[in-house]
Amino acid sequence: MTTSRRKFIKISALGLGGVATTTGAINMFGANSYLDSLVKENVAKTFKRTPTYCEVCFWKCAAWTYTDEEGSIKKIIGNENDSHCYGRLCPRGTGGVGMYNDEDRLKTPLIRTTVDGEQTFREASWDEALDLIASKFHTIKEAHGAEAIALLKHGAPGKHLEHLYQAFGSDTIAEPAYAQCRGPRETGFSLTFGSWVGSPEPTDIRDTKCLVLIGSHIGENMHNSQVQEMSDAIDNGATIITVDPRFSTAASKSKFWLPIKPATDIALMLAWMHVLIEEEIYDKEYIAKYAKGFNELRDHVSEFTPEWAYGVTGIKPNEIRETARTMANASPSVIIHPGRHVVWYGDDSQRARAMAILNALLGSWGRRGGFYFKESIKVPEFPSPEYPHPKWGWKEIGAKYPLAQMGITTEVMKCAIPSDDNKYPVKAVMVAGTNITKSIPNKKLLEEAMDALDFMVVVDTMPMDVTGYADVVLPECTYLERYDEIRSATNREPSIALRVPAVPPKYDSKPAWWIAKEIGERMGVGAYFNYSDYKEVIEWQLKKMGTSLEEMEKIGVKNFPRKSGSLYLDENGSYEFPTQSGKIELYSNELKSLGFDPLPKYTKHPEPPQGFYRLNYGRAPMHTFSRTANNPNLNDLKKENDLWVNPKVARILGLKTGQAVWLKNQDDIISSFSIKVRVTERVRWDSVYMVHGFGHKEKKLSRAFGKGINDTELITSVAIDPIMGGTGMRGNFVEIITKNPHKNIEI
Amino acid sequence: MVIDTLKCVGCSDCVVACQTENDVPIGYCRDWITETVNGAYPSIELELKSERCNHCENAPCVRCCPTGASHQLDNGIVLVTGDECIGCGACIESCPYDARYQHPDGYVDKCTFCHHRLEKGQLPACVSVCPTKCMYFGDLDNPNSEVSQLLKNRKYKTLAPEAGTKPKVYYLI
Repeated sequence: MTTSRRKFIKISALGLGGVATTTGAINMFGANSYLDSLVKENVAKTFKRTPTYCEVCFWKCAAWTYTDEEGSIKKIIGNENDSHCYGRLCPRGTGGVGMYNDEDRLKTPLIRTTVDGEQTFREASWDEALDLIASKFHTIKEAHGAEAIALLKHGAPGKHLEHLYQAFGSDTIAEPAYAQCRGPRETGFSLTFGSWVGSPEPTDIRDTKCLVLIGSHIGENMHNSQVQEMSDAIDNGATIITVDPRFSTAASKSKFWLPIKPATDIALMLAWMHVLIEEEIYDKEYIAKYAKGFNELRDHVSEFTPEWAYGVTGIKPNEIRETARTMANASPSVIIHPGRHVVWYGDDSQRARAMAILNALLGSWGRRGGFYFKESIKVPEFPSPEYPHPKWGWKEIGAKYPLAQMGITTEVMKCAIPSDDNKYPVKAVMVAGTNITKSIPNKKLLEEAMDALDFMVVVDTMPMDVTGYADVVLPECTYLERYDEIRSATNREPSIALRVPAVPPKYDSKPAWWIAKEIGERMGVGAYFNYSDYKEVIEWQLKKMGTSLEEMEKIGVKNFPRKSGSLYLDENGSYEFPTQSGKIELYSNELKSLGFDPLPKYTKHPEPPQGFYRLNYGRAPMHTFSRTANNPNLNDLKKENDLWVNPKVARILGLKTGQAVWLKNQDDIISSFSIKVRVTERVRWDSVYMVHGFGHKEKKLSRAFGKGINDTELITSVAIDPIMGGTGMRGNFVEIITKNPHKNIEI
Repeated sequence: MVIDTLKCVGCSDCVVACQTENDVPIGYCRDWITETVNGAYPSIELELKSERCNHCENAPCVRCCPTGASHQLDNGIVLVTGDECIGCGACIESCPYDARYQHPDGYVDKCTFCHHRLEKGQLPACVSVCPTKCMYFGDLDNPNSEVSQLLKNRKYKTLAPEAGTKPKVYYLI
């Protein structure tokens, strides 16, 4: 093995000759700050509550943080007026206190250094770390242009850093939330209805009569208001239809569970369309009034009978017909849910198109119990100079995927690998709030790219695996310790939510807005950060919106009346969809003109070879990706993932529940750690299943280190969606190994 | 307490909420989730439910407590007075629901139905946070209460009825 310059450093190796230069935390809040007043009030009261919105996942539920007399956070409770949580947080939100308390948090800035030929990190002061970043960025900007400095981000810190990047002239920005998650459905739905699904999804679940989940496992993904509304729908007697090779929690709540053969969903949907059209039970009036391309669709699906689909999907023809009729009976109060993590097989935009077309046939878009018309309120932009115009950015990098609507992380990282035909050389990367070694597949490519970089910065609250590849690590404080952007929610009614620090930042951690401003000032773009405290920005914005910081501190969430009209289509009026034609596009001329199938087709995908099982992965309700694995409260609920194995497979291989096994994928990649078998009837015999986000390699994560398997390291076969660049990850196959393959090998 | 198994998704929010509300040390819990799977692929049934002390009408833990630390209030709630508990563990052995644990501070601890919150007119923490609203709490002696109505109109079961403890946590099925 050759020695890599960017050798993965375990942060636990810290201090080997390192120079501790840390000074005490700077009081960035100033003397007569809000925080100081809080602390005084705390003496008088048992609990003090401050508003926030949760950052443990992306749902951003508004909540109240309760702190005791000593200023320690006791509990976090949902805000009753918030349409993301209706006063009830999920386990991760309730357990958010563990994110603050975690003693393994990053505590000071760290700088990569070499001591006696060994790479390690040393502690550094903020000044030193920020000076180094600014000077490296400046050098790269002079030599290659600001565009060569890329940002990979997620969540609230990403917003502040995006502002910094745009200020110094880089639009080379991407996030795994797009090409590794929901990108294909946004493309599929905007091609059909003219608008993104967006977050939260505008699914009118509480009033639906029929909810159809295709591989979406609401209840295991705790997308809070969706889970709550699904529960309301159960109370209201709604029918749930779940299509999933695994007997998910949602499947157990369903009247119909269709245990589909993996990778055949489009075939099932084509057959559903066939039944709806053949039996003339689709919403004829709706289609006639709002849609275009029906004849082409009818001709296209005429051959896709339930009998044909049975051979492909394993779902019996009568079940396909019965479920199609159930949907039609509920129409238009029916939802074919667009799902969220939808990068599966590389034809994912087309699968999303099939879902959108089904929704159109059932007349559910813009109808009560289907999809409502969402609305949000614009938060006024704080005065700032106009951004410069970069010569290239995420758009140019992703240009070979014509309908990519956001940056593609994998394409941005490929640009870091030198080659003669690379027109967009990326030289530095900042990673903020996303553990890319677990969120982006194809580790080999990622490591090659990171190794080729001149400079890499990671901003995080925890020593996630990705910090080991950085030149500089910056410790961000948690959401409970900082101001952040006002949350403007897209929902039935527009609303805003406030995030205020409940306690001052622990250790020597800092908020991302401060990090962005400090780097900006050092890079000569201080004019874009015309404030000393982000609180000033919020105060200015709230005033403009007709409220104030004082009011928002008391209420946390403010709901505004709708201005865009009714939640649903006006049945007597006319409506123009924001598509090219103004109609719902069942047949897509846009796809046709780009050389893609204008109507979705079923494509056969690779199947597991003899002795291999398809690797499926998903979510557990108490964890968010890999970021919560070390959270003391949430780790207490689930410490590691397990490998779901069908009893037939267990019998053949002689596996028992609780037994440790290792996995080897089709490219001979062996899992770093072992995983415990869970023999269960809830999974098909041709696949295995695990919860994503475990198998951490960073020893400093004292609770999460070495627990379970990281599914992402086994995802080396990636099927790229040619339409928008999504990275299909469900085409990986694994062998189950019962003897430790790492014996005598140091991990 | 009434818990609707048809709505519970087993998310464990009730467990975390109880821990933060009642300062239950990490590694211990007063409530927990159980998962029961029946059948064979593809004819499977899954039941998820939140379990805790059943606040039994005929409570073996109260009967066997040598110090009187385990006691029952007039409203039926079973409590442990930590100061009077010698940590002998007899109650832990007697409980058919395994609902009690030895607190590291030397006494036996368990669900109180958040008695301190009830006194303020608030629901138990688990009930108040549950995202599926599958948990209901109220007065079973009042025939018009939500819990009584649910038991009147829905099919339900209790846990380990054979133990004869007359448990007061009901599961809608």
